[in-house]
Amino acid sequence: MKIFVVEDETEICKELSVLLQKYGYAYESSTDFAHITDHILKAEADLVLLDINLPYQDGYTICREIRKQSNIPIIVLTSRNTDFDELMSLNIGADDFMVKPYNAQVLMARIEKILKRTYEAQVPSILTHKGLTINLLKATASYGDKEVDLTKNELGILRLLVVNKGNVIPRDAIIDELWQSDEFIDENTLNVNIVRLRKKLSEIGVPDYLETKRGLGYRV
Amino acid sequence: MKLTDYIIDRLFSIVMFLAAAIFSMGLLWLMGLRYEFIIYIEIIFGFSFFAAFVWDYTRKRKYYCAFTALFDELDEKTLLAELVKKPGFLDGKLLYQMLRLSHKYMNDKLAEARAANQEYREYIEMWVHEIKTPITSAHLIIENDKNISTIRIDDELNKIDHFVEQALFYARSTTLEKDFKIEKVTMKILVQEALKSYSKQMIVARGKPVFVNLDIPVFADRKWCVFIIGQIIANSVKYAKGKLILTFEGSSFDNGCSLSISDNGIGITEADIPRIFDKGFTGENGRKFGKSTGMGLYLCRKLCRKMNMEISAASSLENGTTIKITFPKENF
Repeated sequence: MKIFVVEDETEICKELSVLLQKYGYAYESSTDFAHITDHILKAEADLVLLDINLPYQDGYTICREIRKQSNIPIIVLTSRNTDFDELMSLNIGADDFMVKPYNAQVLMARIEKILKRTYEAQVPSILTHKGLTINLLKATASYGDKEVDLTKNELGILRLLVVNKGNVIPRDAIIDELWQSDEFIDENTLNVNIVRLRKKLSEIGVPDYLETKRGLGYRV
Repeated sequence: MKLTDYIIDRLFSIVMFLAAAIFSMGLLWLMGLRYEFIIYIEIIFGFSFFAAFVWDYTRKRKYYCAFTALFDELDEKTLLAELVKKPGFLDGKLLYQMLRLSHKYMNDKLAEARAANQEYREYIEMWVHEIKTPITSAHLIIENDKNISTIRIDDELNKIDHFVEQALFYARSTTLEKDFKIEKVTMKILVQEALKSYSKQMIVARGKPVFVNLDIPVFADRKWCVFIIGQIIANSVKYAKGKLILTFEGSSFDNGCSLSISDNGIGITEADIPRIFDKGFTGENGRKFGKSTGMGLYLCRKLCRKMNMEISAASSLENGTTIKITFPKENF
């Protein structure tokens, strides 16, 4: 699945490309804003992330231009968070609207949702690290030929650690990650979830996958 | 305009008239005129003076009564000079002229100040949108390389984001326009969004949110309400005592519904409670704990009033504080 990013801030562009590629999406963008619509249509992407404040023409114009020729899903990402902007975006045919600064996980979730809805296809939501494969869509982890189902919290914890493989993630950050998906858990619940996750991972043959850094956090 | 005030105002001319009457009476008497004539002349003098006095009093009274009544009736007092009638007497005419001139001057200044205020507000809004781009880049950079130090930077970024948000809402709260959008949401959505925004502070404070009966639909602006609830959460975290338990409880009644946010923090002294929504008020807690700007709750009340909502506080020292937001039934 290919995602086209229309954004004039190079930093944001760069980081979005890293983020999207981490989640298994192909990425394309262009700095030729004068002919951006042509580039978008030529790229045959599956989804467009569109900023509003752009050189040459604003995102609304681009959105309208695209809609004349294509039904490709568009998510508007903007720092202009007035009601007018939101209404405008949805009126001219954007599929979703997100205000900067957006939460990266929420963005990924929305991209996934829209792609699933539009193409009714499997979205490439598979993460692999050290032989362990995590299927974000089916909420499973597999190692070799063994597979195990994960709960929402377990999946969230594992995803956060695998996306940031090699780095130590503090416990508070893991709790925060789960809060962002409406699971307002406390420390004790996290402990229970970690223990269960460890048990499941050792059942499929990776007993020491989760590494505890005492006083710091966890790492895979 | 009272008669006594008018008499006092005209006292000098009355005294002068009386003196003139008495002297002329004495003069006529010395001339040996008959009493009937003297009295007759005095009556003519007295009557003319009295008639002039009454006439002047009634016309002025009529004019100024209408003037004060108009002033009391007017909602927009700056329109007074536009609407008041031109008086028929000289001193009134002079003052009327001056009033018109000063009114024009004041209106020009007012328009200038409004334009400047509007410009400033627009600048703040623009600035807020500008600053969000680097904040977003920084968040994404961290997202792609989460580790112990970048996560700490992310927490600081969130603080910056909250301050920026506060500036935006302050700018919005100062305008007369109602630039909010009333939509139907549930209390649960509002509370959860606010909690997500202040998640890290809550988690670090080992805070536990408790949700009671939040599936109540409300008509309000989502962003504004999330901001308001966020400010209250931030306060509860700031003034926590031990393990923070934050209870969000919804209740509905005949002509509306309310959301109570109760913490188990240090509470507010009774003397401070009536003033916590005042601008710049920091109170005893602010002095003890520092870091209080007295802006959060002030903005909350201001935004609530704009949306026709009520906000109130109750607290018992050492036991905690409850902030209650009341939503009207149908707020269109």
